[in-house]
Amino acid sequence: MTERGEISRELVRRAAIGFPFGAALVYLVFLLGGLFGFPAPEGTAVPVVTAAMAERWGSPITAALVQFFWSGLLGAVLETAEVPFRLERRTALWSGVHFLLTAAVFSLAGWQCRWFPYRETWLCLLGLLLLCYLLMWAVRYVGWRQDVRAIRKGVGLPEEPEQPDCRKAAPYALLAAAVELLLPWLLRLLDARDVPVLTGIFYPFLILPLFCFFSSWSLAKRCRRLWLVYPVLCALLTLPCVFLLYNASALFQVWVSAIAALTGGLFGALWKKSRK
Amino acid sequence: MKLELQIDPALPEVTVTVRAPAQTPEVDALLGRLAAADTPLLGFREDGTAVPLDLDTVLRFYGEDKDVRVQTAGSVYTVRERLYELERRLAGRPFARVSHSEIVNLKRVTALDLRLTGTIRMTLTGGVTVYVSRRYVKKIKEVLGL
Repeated sequence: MTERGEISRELVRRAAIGFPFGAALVYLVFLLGGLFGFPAPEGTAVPVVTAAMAERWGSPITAALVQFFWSGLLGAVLETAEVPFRLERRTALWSGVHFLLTAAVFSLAGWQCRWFPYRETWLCLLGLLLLCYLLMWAVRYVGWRQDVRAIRKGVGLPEEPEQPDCRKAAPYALLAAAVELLLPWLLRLLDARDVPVLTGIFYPFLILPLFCFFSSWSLAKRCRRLWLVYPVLCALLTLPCVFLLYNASALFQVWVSAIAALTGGLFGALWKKSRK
Repeated sequence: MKLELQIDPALPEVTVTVRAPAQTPEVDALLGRLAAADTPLLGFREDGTAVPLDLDTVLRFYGEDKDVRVQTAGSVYTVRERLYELERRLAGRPFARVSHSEIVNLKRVTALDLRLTGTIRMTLTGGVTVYVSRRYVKKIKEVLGL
Protein backbone atom coordinates (compact mmCIF):
# COMPACT_ATOMS: atom_id res chain seq x y z
CA MET A 1 0.00 0.00 0.00
CA THR A 2 1.27 3.53 -0.77
CA GLU A 3 2.27 5.91 2.00
CA ARG A 4 -0.66 8.20 1.17
CA GLY A 5 -3.16 5.32 1.36
CA GLU A 6 -1.71 4.18 4.67
CA ILE A 7 -1.89 7.69 6.12
CA SER A 8 -5.50 8.18 5.00
CA ARG A 9 -6.53 4.87 6.57
CA GLU A 10 -4.75 5.77 9.79
CA LEU A 11 -6.43 9.20 9.85
CA VAL A 12 -9.90 7.64 9.48
CA ARG A 13 -9.15 4.91 12.04
CA ARG A 14 -7.90 7.33 14.66
CA ALA A 15 -10.68 9.85 14.03
CA ALA A 16 -13.25 7.06 14.52
CA ILE A 17 -11.68 6.21 17.88
CA GLY A 18 -11.27 9.86 18.86
CA PHE A 19 -14.89 10.93 18.28
CA PRO A 20 -16.51 8.90 21.11
CA PHE A 21 -13.45 9.49 23.28
CA GLY A 22 -13.70 13.28 22.89
CA ALA A 23 -17.45 13.31 23.54
CA ALA A 24 -17.06 11.12 26.62
CA LEU A 25 -14.19 13.22 27.98
CA VAL A 26 -16.08 16.52 27.73
CA TYR A 27 -19.15 15.09 29.49
CA LEU A 28 -16.90 13.53 32.12
CA VAL A 29 -15.31 16.94 32.77
CA PHE A 30 -18.78 18.46 33.19
CA LEU A 31 -19.95 15.65 35.48
CA LEU A 32 -16.82 15.90 37.63
CA GLY A 33 -17.16 19.69 37.57
CA GLY A 34 -20.71 19.26 38.88
CA LEU A 35 -19.27 17.58 41.96
CA PHE A 36 -17.07 20.63 42.56
CA GLY A 37 -19.72 23.26 42.03
CA PHE A 38 -20.15 23.82 38.26
CA PRO A 39 -23.49 25.64 38.04
CA ALA A 40 -26.19 23.54 36.31
CA PRO A 41 -28.44 25.21 33.71
CA GLU A 42 -31.98 25.99 34.84
CA GLY A 43 -34.27 22.96 34.85
CA THR A 44 -31.48 20.34 35.05
CA ALA A 45 -30.10 18.46 38.02
CA VAL A 46 -26.64 17.69 36.62
CA PRO A 47 -24.57 20.17 34.57
CA VAL A 48 -23.61 18.64 31.19
CA VAL A 49 -23.51 21.95 29.30
CA THR A 50 -22.81 25.51 30.39
CA ALA A 51 -25.78 27.65 31.37
CA ALA A 52 -24.84 30.11 28.58
CA MET A 53 -24.99 27.33 26.00
CA ALA A 54 -28.35 25.99 27.24
CA GLU A 55 -29.70 29.53 26.95
CA ARG A 56 -28.30 29.94 23.46
CA TRP A 57 -29.82 26.71 22.07
CA GLY A 58 -33.15 27.06 23.83
CA SER A 59 -33.05 23.84 25.87
CA PRO A 60 -30.37 21.86 27.72
CA ILE A 61 -31.12 18.74 25.61
CA THR A 62 -30.54 20.48 22.28
CA ALA A 63 -27.43 22.09 23.73
CA ALA A 64 -26.16 18.70 24.93
CA LEU A 65 -26.66 17.20 21.46
CA VAL A 66 -24.80 20.09 19.80
CA GLN A 67 -22.03 19.75 22.36
CA PHE A 68 -21.85 16.00 21.64
CA PHE A 69 -21.09 16.77 18.00
CA TRP A 70 -18.45 19.44 18.70
CA SER A 71 -16.68 17.56 21.48
CA GLY A 72 -16.65 14.41 19.33
CA LEU A 73 -15.17 16.37 16.43
CA LEU A 74 -12.52 17.84 18.74
CA GLY A 75 -11.67 14.35 20.05
CA ALA A 76 -11.38 13.06 16.47
CA VAL A 77 -8.98 15.86 15.51
CA LEU A 78 -6.88 15.50 18.66
CA GLU A 79 -6.58 11.74 18.24
CA THR A 80 -5.00 12.22 14.80
CA ALA A 81 -2.22 14.46 16.19
CA GLU A 82 0.40 11.70 15.85
CA VAL A 83 -0.35 10.94 12.20
CA PRO A 84 1.84 13.74 10.72
CA PHE A 85 4.86 12.07 12.36
CA ARG A 86 4.35 9.11 10.04
CA LEU A 87 4.97 11.33 7.04
CA GLU A 88 8.54 11.15 5.86
CA ARG A 89 8.76 14.55 4.24
CA ARG A 90 7.70 17.92 5.65
CA THR A 91 6.84 16.37 9.02
CA ALA A 92 7.24 19.69 10.85
CA LEU A 93 5.07 21.51 8.31
CA TRP A 94 2.24 18.95 8.51
CA SER A 95 2.44 18.90 12.27
CA GLY A 96 2.06 22.71 12.21
CA VAL A 97 -0.91 22.41 9.87
CA HIS A 98 -2.45 19.88 12.23
CA PHE A 99 -1.95 22.25 15.17
CA LEU A 100 -3.70 25.07 13.28
CA LEU A 101 -6.60 22.75 12.41
CA THR A 102 -6.89 21.56 16.01
CA ALA A 103 -6.74 25.14 17.28
CA ALA A 104 -9.47 26.14 14.81
CA VAL A 105 -11.77 23.22 15.79
CA PHE A 106 -11.07 23.84 19.48
CA SER A 107 -11.87 27.55 19.17
CA LEU A 108 -15.01 26.91 17.13
CA ALA A 109 -16.20 24.16 19.48
CA GLY A 110 -15.50 26.36 22.50
CA TRP A 111 -17.33 29.28 20.95
CA GLN A 112 -20.35 27.18 19.93
CA CYS A 113 -20.51 25.41 23.30
CA ARG A 114 -19.72 28.56 25.32
CA TRP A 115 -16.81 26.86 27.11
CA PHE A 116 -14.74 30.02 27.52
CA PRO A 117 -16.20 32.56 29.91
CA TYR A 118 -13.36 35.00 29.14
CA ARG A 119 -11.25 35.68 26.07
CA GLU A 120 -8.17 35.14 28.23
CA THR A 121 -9.34 31.59 29.10
CA TRP A 122 -9.47 30.73 25.41
CA LEU A 123 -6.02 32.23 24.73
CA CYS A 124 -4.53 30.45 27.73
CA LEU A 125 -5.91 27.05 26.65
CA LEU A 126 -4.61 27.63 23.12
CA GLY A 127 -1.20 28.33 24.66
CA LEU A 128 -1.36 25.05 26.56
CA LEU A 129 -2.32 23.23 23.36
CA LEU A 130 0.70 24.74 21.60
CA LEU A 131 2.90 23.69 24.51
CA CYS A 132 1.61 20.10 24.18
CA TYR A 133 2.50 20.11 20.46
CA LEU A 134 5.98 21.47 21.13
CA LEU A 135 6.55 18.86 23.82
CA MET A 136 5.34 16.07 21.52
CA TRP A 137 7.72 17.29 18.81
CA ALA A 138 10.63 17.54 21.26
CA VAL A 139 10.06 13.98 22.56
CA ARG A 140 9.95 12.58 19.02
CA TYR A 141 13.05 14.52 18.03
CA VAL A 142 15.03 13.19 20.98
CA GLY A 143 14.01 9.63 19.98
CA TRP A 144 15.12 10.16 16.37
CA ARG A 145 18.38 11.66 17.57
CA GLN A 146 19.10 8.59 19.67
CA ASP A 147 18.38 6.35 16.67
CA VAL A 148 20.74 8.35 14.46
CA ARG A 149 23.44 8.24 17.14
CA ALA A 150 23.10 4.44 17.40
CA ILE A 151 23.33 4.00 13.63
CA ARG A 152 26.36 6.33 13.43
CA LYS A 153 28.06 4.16 16.01
CA GLY A 154 26.99 0.97 14.21
CA VAL A 155 28.45 2.04 10.85
CA GLY A 156 31.66 3.17 12.51
CA LEU A 157 31.28 6.93 12.12
CA PRO A 158 32.96 9.15 14.72
CA GLU A 159 30.74 10.34 17.58
CA GLU A 160 29.33 13.84 17.25
CA PRO A 161 31.54 16.34 19.05
CA GLU A 162 30.10 16.98 22.50
CA GLN A 163 28.43 20.37 22.95
CA PRO A 164 29.91 22.78 25.48
CA ASP A 165 28.13 22.86 28.86
CA CYS A 166 26.72 26.36 28.37
CA ARG A 167 25.05 25.27 25.14
CA LYS A 168 23.58 22.20 26.83
CA ALA A 169 22.24 24.36 29.66
CA ALA A 170 20.67 27.02 27.41
CA PRO A 171 17.36 25.14 26.81
CA TYR A 172 17.01 24.59 30.58
CA ALA A 173 17.49 28.31 31.24
CA LEU A 174 14.90 29.17 28.58
CA LEU A 175 12.41 26.66 29.96
CA ALA A 176 12.95 27.95 33.49
CA ALA A 177 12.32 31.49 32.25
CA ALA A 178 9.11 30.39 30.54
CA VAL A 179 7.85 28.51 33.60
CA GLU A 180 8.80 31.13 36.18
CA LEU A 181 8.18 34.34 34.24
CA LEU A 182 5.23 33.46 31.99
CA LEU A 183 3.33 30.57 33.52
CA PRO A 184 2.14 32.44 36.65
CA TRP A 185 0.59 35.12 34.40
CA LEU A 186 -1.16 32.48 32.28
CA LEU A 187 -2.44 30.73 35.39
CA ARG A 188 -3.70 34.02 36.79
CA LEU A 189 -5.83 34.41 33.65
CA LEU A 190 -7.35 30.98 34.24
CA ASP A 191 -7.76 31.44 37.98
CA ALA A 192 -11.07 31.92 39.71
CA ARG A 193 -11.65 35.58 40.59
CA ASP A 194 -12.49 34.89 44.24
CA VAL A 195 -10.06 32.11 45.26
CA PRO A 196 -6.90 31.99 43.07
CA VAL A 197 -6.23 28.26 43.53
CA LEU A 198 -3.88 27.92 40.54
CA THR A 199 -1.53 30.78 41.37
CA GLY A 200 -2.02 30.57 45.13
CA ILE A 201 -1.62 26.82 45.69
CA PHE A 202 -0.86 24.78 42.56
CA TYR A 203 1.92 26.95 41.18
CA PRO A 204 4.05 27.67 44.27
CA PHE A 205 3.56 24.33 46.03
CA LEU A 206 3.33 21.87 43.15
CA ILE A 207 4.35 23.11 39.70
CA LEU A 208 7.32 25.27 40.76
CA PRO A 209 9.09 22.76 43.06
CA LEU A 210 8.43 19.81 40.74
CA PHE A 211 9.67 21.70 37.71
CA CYS A 212 12.82 22.92 39.49
CA PHE A 213 13.54 19.47 40.90
CA PHE A 214 13.18 17.48 37.68
CA SER A 215 14.76 20.04 35.33
CA SER A 216 17.75 20.32 37.67
CA TRP A 217 17.97 16.51 37.86
CA SER A 218 18.09 16.30 34.07
CA LEU A 219 20.63 19.16 33.81
CA ALA A 220 22.94 17.57 36.38
CA LYS A 221 22.99 14.38 34.31
CA ARG A 222 24.14 16.34 31.25
CA CYS A 223 26.42 19.05 32.66
CA ARG A 224 29.14 18.44 35.19
CA ARG A 225 29.28 21.84 36.92
CA LEU A 226 26.61 24.19 35.61
CA TRP A 227 23.85 22.49 37.61
CA LEU A 228 25.32 24.19 40.67
CA VAL A 229 24.41 27.61 39.20
CA TYR A 230 20.92 26.49 38.19
CA PRO A 231 19.34 26.77 41.69
CA VAL A 232 20.52 30.39 41.82
CA LEU A 233 18.99 31.06 38.42
CA CYS A 234 15.71 29.40 39.47
CA ALA A 235 15.59 31.53 42.61
CA LEU A 236 16.33 34.77 40.74
CA LEU A 237 13.72 34.05 38.07
CA THR A 238 10.95 33.86 40.66
CA LEU A 239 11.59 37.44 41.82
CA PRO A 240 9.88 39.41 39.01
CA CYS A 241 6.59 37.52 39.47
CA VAL A 242 6.82 37.70 43.25
CA PHE A 243 6.86 41.50 43.11
CA LEU A 244 4.74 42.10 40.02
CA LEU A 245 2.05 39.42 40.38
CA TYR A 246 2.09 38.52 44.08
CA ASN A 247 3.58 40.55 46.94
CA ALA A 248 6.40 40.21 49.45
CA SER A 249 4.53 37.40 51.25
CA ALA A 250 5.30 35.16 48.23
CA LEU A 251 9.05 35.49 48.71
CA PHE A 252 9.08 31.90 50.00
CA GLN A 253 8.97 30.90 46.29
CA VAL A 254 12.62 31.94 46.04
CA TRP A 255 13.62 29.32 48.63
CA VAL A 256 11.18 26.73 47.33
CA SER A 257 12.66 26.92 43.82
CA ALA A 258 16.29 27.06 44.97
CA ILE A 259 15.98 24.11 47.39
CA ALA A 260 14.03 22.00 44.88
CA ALA A 261 16.59 22.71 42.15
CA LEU A 262 19.52 21.99 44.46
CA THR A 263 17.96 18.70 45.62
CA GLY A 264 17.16 17.68 42.04
CA GLY A 265 20.70 18.54 40.96
CA LEU A 266 22.22 16.49 43.77
CA PHE A 267 20.06 13.50 42.89
CA GLY A 268 20.95 13.89 39.21
CA ALA A 269 24.67 14.09 39.96
CA LEU A 270 24.48 11.04 42.24
CA TRP A 271 22.47 9.13 39.65
CA LYS A 272 25.09 9.96 37.00
CA LYS A 273 27.87 8.84 39.30
CA SER A 274 26.13 5.54 40.13
CA ARG A 275 25.62 4.83 36.42
CA LYS A 276 29.32 5.33 35.74
CA MET B 1 16.13 -29.19 8.72
CA LYS B 2 19.33 -30.72 10.04
CA LEU B 3 22.65 -28.94 9.37
CA GLU B 4 25.88 -30.87 9.26
CA LEU B 5 29.40 -29.53 8.63
CA GLN B 6 32.21 -31.88 7.65
CA ILE B 7 35.74 -30.49 7.51
CA ASP B 8 37.99 -32.51 5.21
CA PRO B 9 41.37 -30.92 4.32
CA ALA B 10 41.66 -33.31 1.37
CA LEU B 11 38.73 -31.69 -0.50
CA PRO B 12 39.75 -29.33 -3.35
CA GLU B 13 36.78 -26.90 -2.87
CA VAL B 14 33.61 -26.28 -0.82
CA THR B 15 30.95 -28.85 -1.76
CA VAL B 16 27.35 -28.58 -0.57
CA THR B 17 25.26 -31.75 -0.73
CA VAL B 18 21.56 -31.52 0.03
CA ARG B 19 19.99 -34.79 1.19
CA ALA B 20 16.22 -34.94 1.39
CA PRO B 21 13.52 -37.68 1.42
CA ALA B 22 11.66 -35.90 -1.46
CA GLN B 23 11.95 -32.82 -3.69
CA THR B 24 9.64 -30.47 -1.79
CA PRO B 25 9.18 -26.68 -2.36
CA GLU B 26 11.32 -26.15 0.76
CA VAL B 27 14.16 -28.09 -0.82
CA ASP B 28 13.76 -26.15 -4.10
CA ALA B 29 13.88 -22.84 -2.21
CA LEU B 30 17.01 -23.94 -0.41
CA LEU B 31 18.68 -24.96 -3.69
CA GLY B 32 17.65 -21.61 -5.20
CA ARG B 33 19.21 -19.69 -2.31
CA LEU B 34 22.43 -21.67 -2.52
CA ALA B 35 22.62 -21.18 -6.29
CA ALA B 36 21.99 -17.43 -5.93
CA ALA B 37 24.72 -17.15 -3.33
CA ASP B 38 27.16 -18.62 -5.82
CA THR B 39 26.04 -16.54 -8.84
CA PRO B 40 27.46 -13.05 -9.06
CA LEU B 41 25.00 -10.20 -9.34
CA LEU B 42 25.01 -8.72 -12.83
CA GLY B 43 24.76 -5.07 -13.70
CA PHE B 44 23.82 -4.03 -17.23
CA ARG B 45 25.24 -1.04 -19.07
CA GLU B 46 23.01 1.03 -21.38
CA ASP B 47 24.25 -0.95 -24.40
CA GLY B 48 23.17 -4.19 -22.69
CA THR B 49 26.65 -5.37 -21.73
CA ALA B 50 26.56 -7.38 -18.50
CA VAL B 51 29.12 -6.65 -15.80
CA PRO B 52 29.58 -8.86 -12.72
CA LEU B 53 29.22 -6.64 -9.68
CA ASP B 54 31.63 -6.60 -6.80
CA LEU B 55 29.28 -5.93 -3.88
CA ASP B 56 32.01 -4.20 -1.89
CA THR B 57 32.14 -1.41 -4.48
CA VAL B 58 28.37 -0.94 -4.59
CA LEU B 59 27.07 2.24 -2.94
CA ARG B 60 23.36 1.70 -3.36
CA PHE B 61 20.55 0.05 -5.27
CA TYR B 62 17.63 2.34 -6.12
CA GLY B 63 14.43 2.40 -8.10
CA GLU B 64 14.30 4.76 -11.07
CA ASP B 65 11.84 4.86 -13.99
CA LYS B 66 10.40 1.44 -13.08
CA ASP B 67 13.94 -0.06 -13.22
CA VAL B 68 16.35 -0.90 -10.47
CA ARG B 69 19.76 0.75 -10.76
CA VAL B 70 22.94 0.03 -8.93
CA GLN B 71 25.41 2.80 -8.25
CA THR B 72 29.09 2.14 -7.67
CA ALA B 73 31.76 4.77 -7.03
CA GLY B 74 32.21 5.34 -10.76
CA SER B 75 29.20 3.99 -12.66
CA VAL B 76 25.48 3.32 -12.66
CA TYR B 77 24.12 0.04 -14.02
CA THR B 78 20.68 -1.52 -14.29
CA VAL B 79 19.97 -4.79 -12.51
CA ARG B 80 17.24 -7.27 -13.39
CA GLU B 81 16.25 -8.11 -9.80
CA ARG B 82 13.55 -6.14 -7.99
CA LEU B 83 14.43 -4.33 -4.76
CA TYR B 84 12.64 -6.87 -2.58
CA GLU B 85 14.56 -9.70 -4.29
CA LEU B 86 17.83 -7.87 -3.74
CA GLU B 87 16.89 -7.26 -0.11
CA ARG B 88 16.43 -11.01 0.33
CA ARG B 89 19.57 -11.85 -1.60
CA LEU B 90 21.71 -9.40 0.32
CA ALA B 91 20.57 -10.68 3.70
CA GLY B 92 23.54 -11.26 5.97
CA ARG B 93 25.61 -8.60 4.19
CA PRO B 94 25.99 -4.96 5.30
CA PHE B 95 23.16 -3.76 3.07
CA ALA B 96 19.99 -2.22 4.45
CA ARG B 97 16.86 -0.81 2.93
CA VAL B 98 16.71 2.85 3.93
CA SER B 99 13.54 3.86 2.12
CA HIS B 100 10.82 2.53 -0.15
CA SER B 101 13.11 2.81 -3.16
CA GLU B 102 16.66 2.46 -1.86
CA ILE B 103 19.04 -0.15 -0.43
CA VAL B 104 22.44 1.14 0.66
CA ASN B 105 25.79 -0.40 1.47
CA LEU B 106 26.28 0.52 5.12
CA LYS B 107 30.05 0.12 4.72
CA ARG B 108 30.00 3.11 2.37
CA VAL B 109 28.31 5.55 4.75
CA THR B 110 30.49 8.60 5.36
CA ALA B 111 28.03 10.82 7.24
CA LEU B 112 24.62 10.67 8.87
CA ASP B 113 22.75 13.60 10.28
CA LEU B 114 19.33 14.50 11.59
CA ARG B 115 17.86 17.80 10.53
CA LEU B 116 15.66 19.95 12.73
CA THR B 117 12.67 19.03 10.57
CA GLY B 118 13.13 15.34 11.43
CA THR B 119 14.70 14.33 8.10
CA ILE B 120 17.60 11.86 8.33
CA ARG B 121 20.25 12.44 5.67
CA MET B 122 22.83 9.80 4.82
CA THR B 123 25.95 10.56 2.79
CA LEU B 124 27.78 7.79 0.95
CA THR B 125 31.28 7.67 -0.53
CA GLY B 126 31.69 10.33 -3.21
CA GLY B 127 29.12 12.63 -1.63
CA VAL B 128 26.09 10.64 -2.80
CA THR B 129 23.18 11.73 -0.59
CA VAL B 130 20.17 9.60 0.31
CA TYR B 131 17.32 10.25 2.70
CA VAL B 132 16.52 7.63 5.32
CA SER B 133 12.90 6.89 5.89
CA ARG B 134 12.20 6.82 9.66
CA ARG B 135 10.10 3.68 9.26
CA TYR B 136 13.19 1.79 8.05
CA VAL B 137 15.38 2.87 10.99
CA LYS B 138 14.45 -0.28 12.90
CA LYS B 139 15.52 -2.47 9.97
CA ILE B 140 18.86 -0.64 9.66
CA LYS B 141 19.50 -1.19 13.35
CA GLU B 142 18.68 -4.89 12.92
CA VAL B 143 21.20 -5.22 10.06
CA LEU B 144 23.81 -3.56 12.27
CA GLY B 145 22.93 -5.89 15.14
CA LEU B 146 21.87 -3.01 17.42
